[in-house]
Amino acid sequence: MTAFHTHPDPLLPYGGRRHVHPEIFAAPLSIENLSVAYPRSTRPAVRCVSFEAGEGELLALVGPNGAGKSTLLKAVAGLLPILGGSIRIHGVPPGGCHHRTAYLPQRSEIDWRFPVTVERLILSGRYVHLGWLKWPRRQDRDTVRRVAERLGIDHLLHRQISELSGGQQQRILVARALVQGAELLLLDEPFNNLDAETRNDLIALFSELTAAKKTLIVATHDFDDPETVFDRVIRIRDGSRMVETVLA
Amino acid sequence: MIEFFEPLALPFMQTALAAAILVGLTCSLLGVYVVHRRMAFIGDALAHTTLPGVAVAYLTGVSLSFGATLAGVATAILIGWASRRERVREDTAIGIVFTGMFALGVVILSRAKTTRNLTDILLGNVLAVTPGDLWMIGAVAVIVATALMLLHKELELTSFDPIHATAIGLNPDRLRIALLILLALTIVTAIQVIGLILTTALLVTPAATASLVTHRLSYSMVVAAIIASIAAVAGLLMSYQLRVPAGAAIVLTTSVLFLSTTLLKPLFVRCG
Repeated sequence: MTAFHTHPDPLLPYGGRRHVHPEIFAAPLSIENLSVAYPRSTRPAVRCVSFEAGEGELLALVGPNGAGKSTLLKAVAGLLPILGGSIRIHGVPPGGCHHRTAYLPQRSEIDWRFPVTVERLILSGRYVHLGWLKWPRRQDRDTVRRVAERLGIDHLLHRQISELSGGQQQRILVARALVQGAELLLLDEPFNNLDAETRNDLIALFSELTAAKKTLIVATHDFDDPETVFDRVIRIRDGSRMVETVLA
Repeated sequence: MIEFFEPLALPFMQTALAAAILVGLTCSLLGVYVVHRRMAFIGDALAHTTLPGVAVAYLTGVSLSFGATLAGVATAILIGWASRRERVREDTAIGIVFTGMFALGVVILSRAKTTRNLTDILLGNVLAVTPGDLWMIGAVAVIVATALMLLHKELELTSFDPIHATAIGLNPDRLRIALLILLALTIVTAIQVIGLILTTALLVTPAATASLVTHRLSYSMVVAAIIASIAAVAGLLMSYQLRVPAGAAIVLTTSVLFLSTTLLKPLFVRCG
């Protein structure tokens, strides 16, 4: 059972979405017969996929480009509407527990040239708890510093985000998820364009997070033998689940 | 030297100076978003599409600012809505809308059988700003500054990471439309001071100069505001002394400041 962080509810939450409290004994993620299509497309990109992720699990969604891994993660993050089936995050549909879920986009989807510092980017993890018209407070900045120290990136806090390497960018996105207090992290191709050493550092970081009871779902096509790295591997092809392998 | 500043004692020059500084501040604050969200083309288009609104207002005797505001805000909403649909590429859609609207404005104005007002609209006439106009310019400055302050973290986040913004419940499209509406209001006031054609310069140049010396959004806004204020004072005085159009003099000052910052930049360390 996770010791859930408590966050004060925002006064004016974004999208008028109140934060729903999780069901204590429910799995961090439970997907049943899920089908998802992109808006204005009739062909589902994900078809009838079911699986569950347990607390502290490091789970990989593996498959070729265009197999539907990213679509699946986006649906869980509440970024795409569901065509059929169901998603439960701690027993609650997407949107209710959005403050406990963090979607880490592919790095190419962020405008790294925009004039913000690393500190500011990580601080945006607090926004879901602040809502409209509330400024980040001292304790929010303290959280950023604490998490940055833990991930060994505190020396980068005052850098502009354009000055980072791929590995540093990915660490910063993880830092934002932790600052948000997310229990479920959805990572979209975090190993893209990373060299072997940086990749290993990142895997070590993921293991630390799962040891701290975070659940990580990683969409990736970068490993020849993902079974050696992840607790569980779900293979997806053409939007459907193929096989599942569990680390012995 | 003191003689150079003497014109500032004249009442109409004081009104003009206040108008130029206020417009400069508003444009430069919003300009930081225009530059970093790559909206310069939209800004230019918005300025052009206000022309039919101004023309109709001129012919019907309604306040010119009112007509321009209506046309500008309508276009802002239209562009924001159209670019969501992705049927035509955004820049193509803007190109079609703004040239069409501008042509419509020219046709309507040609029926009015006067060219004097067209010149004022195209090139601005800061010396013709009335105390009433100044109130309107001040009101827009307050609205823009307040909105940018209250929506700072949301506008910033949707600018560099719209996906995370959407995941936490924000709607980047709506924030973009809000930004376009603020832009339309700003452009309408800027047209009176520096004219329709040069308005983009006041949006883009001070903010671009600021981006050379700082890499933080809030610092950029402060630096851009200082540059725009200097340009407003210097440009207005030059226009009086050298008998050149004020709008062009203000824009040229910002151009010179940009050029000299580019050239001098290697000598300085970035301030944050």
